[in-house]
Amino acid sequence: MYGLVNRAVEKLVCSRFGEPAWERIKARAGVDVEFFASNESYPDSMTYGLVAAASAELGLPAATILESFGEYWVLEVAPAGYGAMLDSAGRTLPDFLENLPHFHTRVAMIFPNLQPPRFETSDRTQDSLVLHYHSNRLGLEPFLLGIIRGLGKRFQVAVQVDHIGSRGTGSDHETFRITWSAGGAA
Amino acid sequence: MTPPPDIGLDAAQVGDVFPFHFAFDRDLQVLAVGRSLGRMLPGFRVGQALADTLLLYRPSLPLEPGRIPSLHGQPVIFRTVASKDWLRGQLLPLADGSGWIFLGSPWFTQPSDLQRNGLEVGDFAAHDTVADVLQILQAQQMAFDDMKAIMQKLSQQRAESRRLSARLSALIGNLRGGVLVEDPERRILIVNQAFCTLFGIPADPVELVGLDCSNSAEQSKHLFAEPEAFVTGIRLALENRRTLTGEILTLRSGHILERDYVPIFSEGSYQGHLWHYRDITDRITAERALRLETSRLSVTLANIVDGVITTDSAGAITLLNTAALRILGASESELLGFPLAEVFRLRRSNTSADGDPVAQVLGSGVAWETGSSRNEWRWLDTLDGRQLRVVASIAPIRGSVDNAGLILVFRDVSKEFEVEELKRDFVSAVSHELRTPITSMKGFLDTVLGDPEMPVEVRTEFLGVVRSQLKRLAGMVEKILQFSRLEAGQKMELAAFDLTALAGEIVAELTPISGSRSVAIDWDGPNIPVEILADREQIRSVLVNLLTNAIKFTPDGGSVGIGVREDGGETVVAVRDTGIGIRAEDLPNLFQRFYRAPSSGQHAPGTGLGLSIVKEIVQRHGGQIHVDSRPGEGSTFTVRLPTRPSA
Repeated sequence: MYGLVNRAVEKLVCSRFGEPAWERIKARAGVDVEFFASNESYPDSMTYGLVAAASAELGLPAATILESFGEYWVLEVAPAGYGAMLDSAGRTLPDFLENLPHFHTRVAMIFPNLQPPRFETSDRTQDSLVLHYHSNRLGLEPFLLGIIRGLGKRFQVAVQVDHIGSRGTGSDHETFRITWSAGGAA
Repeated sequence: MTPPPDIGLDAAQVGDVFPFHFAFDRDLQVLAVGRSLGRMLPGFRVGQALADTLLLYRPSLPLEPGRIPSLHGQPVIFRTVASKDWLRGQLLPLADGSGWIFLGSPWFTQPSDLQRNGLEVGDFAAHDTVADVLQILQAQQMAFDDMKAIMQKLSQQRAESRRLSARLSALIGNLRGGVLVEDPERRILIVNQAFCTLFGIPADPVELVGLDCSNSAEQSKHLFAEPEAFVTGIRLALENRRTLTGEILTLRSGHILERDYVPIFSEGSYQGHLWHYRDITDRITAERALRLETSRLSVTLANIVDGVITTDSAGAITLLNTAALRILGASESELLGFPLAEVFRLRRSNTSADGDPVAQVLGSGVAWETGSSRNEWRWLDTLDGRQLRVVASIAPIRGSVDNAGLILVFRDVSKEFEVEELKRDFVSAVSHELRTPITSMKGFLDTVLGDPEMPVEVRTEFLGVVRSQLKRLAGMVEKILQFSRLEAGQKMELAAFDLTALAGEIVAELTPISGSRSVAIDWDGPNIPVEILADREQIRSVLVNLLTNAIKFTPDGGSVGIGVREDGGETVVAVRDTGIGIRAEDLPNLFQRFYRAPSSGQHAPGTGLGLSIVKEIVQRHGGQIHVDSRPGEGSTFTVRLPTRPSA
């Protein structure tokens, strides 16, 4: 997993629960990393371990933590890390979502050690589209949900996300119908 | 080289593949502008002069129609006049020869260029690497930001480390104990002035930093009372690398040092060690003095007759002395930590409680005590079921804190109370007994002196009564004096004499008295000599008291008997009577001082000293006295005396 992701988990925990809580979470997860390099690849098990430890330490379900983290990622981490690139990734929510596949293709080329997820969009209408999420990582759907809700806030639209297909029901990927309505920055 | 296939791109497809293209005619007038370029340069329109918006940057040539053909086949860079951005690509002649087309895209060097030009990533063709370059630049920026963050963190840690180091040095410098910190090679890292002073090192501690301490134990061992033990101790500590605290070392000067050794490990790696030496001579001296004082106090407490109990601030017992345990009838283990208020419950009388003086003192901080007069003494129910009379005082202990507990001092005054009661009765009785003959004598003497004509025989009779009363008075005074002498420890004058003969003398002396009341004195048993070694006068007193009592309490017409015999190594004297007898409940108190058994509902006349004198004398001779009695039938007093007292 991208170091930026782990660092984002650290920032989220530190900003909301304080640095001592983060140190306890790291100790509980057996993670002895003082600084996560943004572009470095870290074992997925480390990220999962940190989320599980945060869940135990903070008494929150892992899904809740992941979703909070997704939203925090979009609103706090990505603007700081990607800056202008994020601003140039799309002027609207659907534009942004449709650029996601290109973005992750480029990331895969630049950092061959990373295994970024693959996205596709389809069925775009005036106020909805279908986002296809392909990943060899399991259990990160709440993270993606948080990202989409964060994007709704970023583009100041009300967003509804329906999980319409999943690997648990026979599909080979996760499918979300994303519906937006203008002026509903939730 | 095989020519590329004719892929037949139409104008729309060219627009998609090269969204930043533009075309111009031979006069350098704009013929077409690509979709994304139009978004980037909104003023760059068809029909406009090319030079209004762009200038040729590389090759660096004037933008003139005649120079365009020479640019064919080489990289061309245009620069936007207004924003100074670059467009990088190449020029191709249009198929109809009407002009030229530029195929390329903007060359941006930082991601913010996109937003500044109103573009987004999607405005670039999929094959265009500019967006990838920007992505790489962004990644580089992230790495750079990471580096800055790491540097900042390191700087903070270094600053913090410096601050900690400064604080540590200041702390160690100001410690009263001597501190020496060495690295793994035993070079000095930190040492303070106190250490230098302790070991007589005439140098500034700062100058010692970096010096090798490998031989320091040998160099300073002469300071210690046991030099080799000092050297060995250091060697073992360094070998074992285990924390040692409170090692006691004695200097030749007599000073006592306490030493700690603390190995320093960081992430499992040995980084050196710390020695800490403290001069504890004053403390040890004070502790010894305290122990001595405590021992003295302990001995004092153990040997005083008053019970002493101390508590903590909550009233739980912290200390008791032997007397307290004896009075309360419990063991130390039963009482330590127990609430004093539950152990020490006082009553003013047999029935009424006395509040809770323990809680009262704990709450108010004001001392409390029972009064000194007898009627203020309290009842105490002991833990083993006795009821005692006590006097007590409770006072708060004031130490360094306001409420450090309290101290209770109390005394069992049950005996004193009893004696006081007896004395009160004695004074009352003696007053009465003394007054009676005096009143009688005064009456007779007044009568005799007031009547000069009184017949001689009447006067003689009256004076006889006066003499009799005087004799009675003298007897009582003698008894009181005798008691007083015994109490004062009068020495016995031992001599051998015939007890039977002595008894006979006394019977003869008392026969007139008994005879006047028709009380016969019988001799019980064989009338044979029984020799005894004793104080004759004291034994005489014993027999007189017993026989006088027997006659006194025997109604007219009754009889009194006395017998003397030998029984083994003892001489036994038994005095019996057919008198009024003694109630069973009075028997245990019969020989107590000042005790007078009720007789027919009233106290018998006398001082209440007679039988206590008897018992005292018998016991002094190593003997015993026993009484058998039945009310209405009479009593028998049996005295057993060793024929030859051991001392």
